[in-house]
Amino acid sequence: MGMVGVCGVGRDALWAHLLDPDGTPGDGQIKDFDPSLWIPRRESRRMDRCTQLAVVAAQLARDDAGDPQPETPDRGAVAIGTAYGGVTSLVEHTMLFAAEGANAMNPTLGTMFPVSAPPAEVAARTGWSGPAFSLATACATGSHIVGDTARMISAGICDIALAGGTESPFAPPVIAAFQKLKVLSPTNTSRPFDADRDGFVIAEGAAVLVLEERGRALARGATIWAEVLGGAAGTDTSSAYSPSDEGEALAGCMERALGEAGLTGGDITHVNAHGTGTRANDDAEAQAIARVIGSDVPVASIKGAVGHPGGASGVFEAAAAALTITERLIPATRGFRTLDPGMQLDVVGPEPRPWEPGPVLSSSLGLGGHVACLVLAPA
Amino acid sequence: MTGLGQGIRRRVVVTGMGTVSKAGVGAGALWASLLQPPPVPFDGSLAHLDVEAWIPRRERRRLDRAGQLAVVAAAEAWEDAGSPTPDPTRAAAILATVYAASSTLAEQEEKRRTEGPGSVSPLLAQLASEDACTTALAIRFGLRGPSRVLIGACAGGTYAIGDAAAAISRGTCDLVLAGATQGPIDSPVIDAYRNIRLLSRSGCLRPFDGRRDGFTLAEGAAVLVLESAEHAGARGATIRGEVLGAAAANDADDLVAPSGVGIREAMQAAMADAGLTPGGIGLINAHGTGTPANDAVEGGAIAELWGPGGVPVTSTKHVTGHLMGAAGAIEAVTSLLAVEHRLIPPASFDFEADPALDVDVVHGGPRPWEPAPVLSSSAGLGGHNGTVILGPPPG
Repeated sequence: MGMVGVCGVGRDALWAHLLDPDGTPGDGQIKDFDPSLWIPRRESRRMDRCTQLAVVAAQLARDDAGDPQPETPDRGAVAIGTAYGGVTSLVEHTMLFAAEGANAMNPTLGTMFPVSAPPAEVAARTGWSGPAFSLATACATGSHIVGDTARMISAGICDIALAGGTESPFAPPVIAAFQKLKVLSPTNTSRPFDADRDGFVIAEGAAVLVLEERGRALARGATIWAEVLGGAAGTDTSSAYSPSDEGEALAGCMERALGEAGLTGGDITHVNAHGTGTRANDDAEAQAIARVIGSDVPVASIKGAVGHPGGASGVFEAAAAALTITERLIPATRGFRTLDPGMQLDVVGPEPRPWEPGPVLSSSLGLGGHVACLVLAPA
Repeated sequence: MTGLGQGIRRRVVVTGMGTVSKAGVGAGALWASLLQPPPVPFDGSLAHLDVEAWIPRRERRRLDRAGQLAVVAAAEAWEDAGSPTPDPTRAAAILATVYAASSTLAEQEEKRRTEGPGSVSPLLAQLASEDACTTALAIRFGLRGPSRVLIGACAGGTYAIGDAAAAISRGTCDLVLAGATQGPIDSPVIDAYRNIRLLSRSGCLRPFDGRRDGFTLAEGAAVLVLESAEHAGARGATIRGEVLGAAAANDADDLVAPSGVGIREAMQAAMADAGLTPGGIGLINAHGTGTPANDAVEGGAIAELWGPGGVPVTSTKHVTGHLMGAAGAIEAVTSLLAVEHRLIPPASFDFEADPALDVDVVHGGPRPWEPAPVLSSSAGLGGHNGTVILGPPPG
């Protein structure tokens, strides 16, 4: 696994940040990130920041996995999802065009804007010629794309895949829209499942997982962090802007993911929740967890520590879940103090909790009613 | 996504088609347009399309043009399929698009600069994510399954159909609204294309022609209703065709200039997925954008796999324009219309062969044929290539 976020660069930085009692997302922007350490300047100039982050996260993931290769190049896939893609470059250049006309435009825009730029740039670096694509389901993108990519491996389409998400959402009109939607924390503090929660901290970040067919990974002696047992996605059609179905769509999605994994709610030993810290998200999610998994299973959200990197959040959470399994420790839900009295949940915090690893469910919800879940387990 | 895969497979059939394009609304209007020469110069904007009949004003406000076009095409497809009633959790909308929010972002940024952040619409938080069009369809048709948007630049439409077919084939869904939407083209994105010299200066898209000088852009959407054969059979639906196989491949090389390797690999992998050899393909509905580079490498890949003149080749972009993210979806529809009408629509009414290309380009007028599997090919910036193989209704 590889990632770049407010936690810093790489797996160790993420884990240290999750265990740091003072680890917060700050203002959600990644400081002191120099893409030129990984990407030559003449190449990074043609990339939106979301693409730069994805290229670096993918490189870190490949290094972390020991640079595994598919049997033949066409058996390697690259799947990098994003909700907003190159939105920052798009807005900048739109305004540049309005002010100065076509000649001011960067001639490489055709490859910079498309949401498929991150997988294209990553594929060009791996040399893998199998499917390369992006997927968008708003903030459920990360969990959705990891599940779909795992299914490509199990269906025999590829041997190995980079499955990730990236987001760099700080385009002024997008941030203004989130503020108008009243989902951003005015105190810049994410408090998942807390009685006093008031929204999330929108953040930048990219995370990428190396997924491999199990037999091949074992044969090459790879370190296996976790196994993807199942996944599912669905849609809450009650509202495009806020979960308003009492968690019904998410509960159905959890059940389908468990079904694919061959498990029931009682088999789940930990829930890595979406837990954005908005009133509506956490209400819906708490209801779904209580109904499908139960009220006595430890639940945690990493958003208090890493913020909410949109379409990348599900991949950060899958990575955190895999580390939780390996380290046998559930990081505390940063920002959480007092459980919302309307919820029946065992939220981990303010201290991390030692734990006997078992199957973990990771859930995600997004604007547009998108929901997605993954089931991960010790290998 | 892309590629139905091995193991347990359910057959996937097409039971409805809907399009909105320069030809108008509906597959009938699209077919009629393919049989006559397109206007020159071509203007692909649908800015003045009246969608009132499909989308009431209140709902229209919440959708940008890409979303509106998707709703119109999907409503046509849904009706064409006989207004099915699938299990909601096993039904989804899987679409493709590219740059869907570009004009909306520009408008809202202009408002923010002139009137302040408080004037920005909160709806932008949802509309700026490429998947907004799927939500519109999910809510309208009550689809509670795994809706999503696939993005692979101008190969995206083909990726979405392959992905939707895979979701049905592997048993996740019974019915999927599969397709793509593209709009608007009046944005700075277009000037980016002008700068990389892909747009036709003559305003006339000429696939595989010796005089070709690039493509003309167009807005539009195409949606197909895909179902498992059992699901379609159980409700007595009219079956229009079958998705036999699909695949994607990336050039993994230069991001702008196509190498031809990925196009060929996607074609080969899709044929393997469908269990077909080149001899089993009766027609190629090519990407055929009319750029010097695309048609050279695509024609080269076809000649390599089928031999010189070994299979009829057409492209419908000279009539529809290049719908970018939605190209593969409208071309899946034109492929099935060629099957249904037992006629191959021509790639040109006024053709001058490129002596460097060894392909049998259908030209002059439609060519009668005995329907057989059609291979529809797409390619995009970033080295993205997709192929889907569509067959006549199962005997």
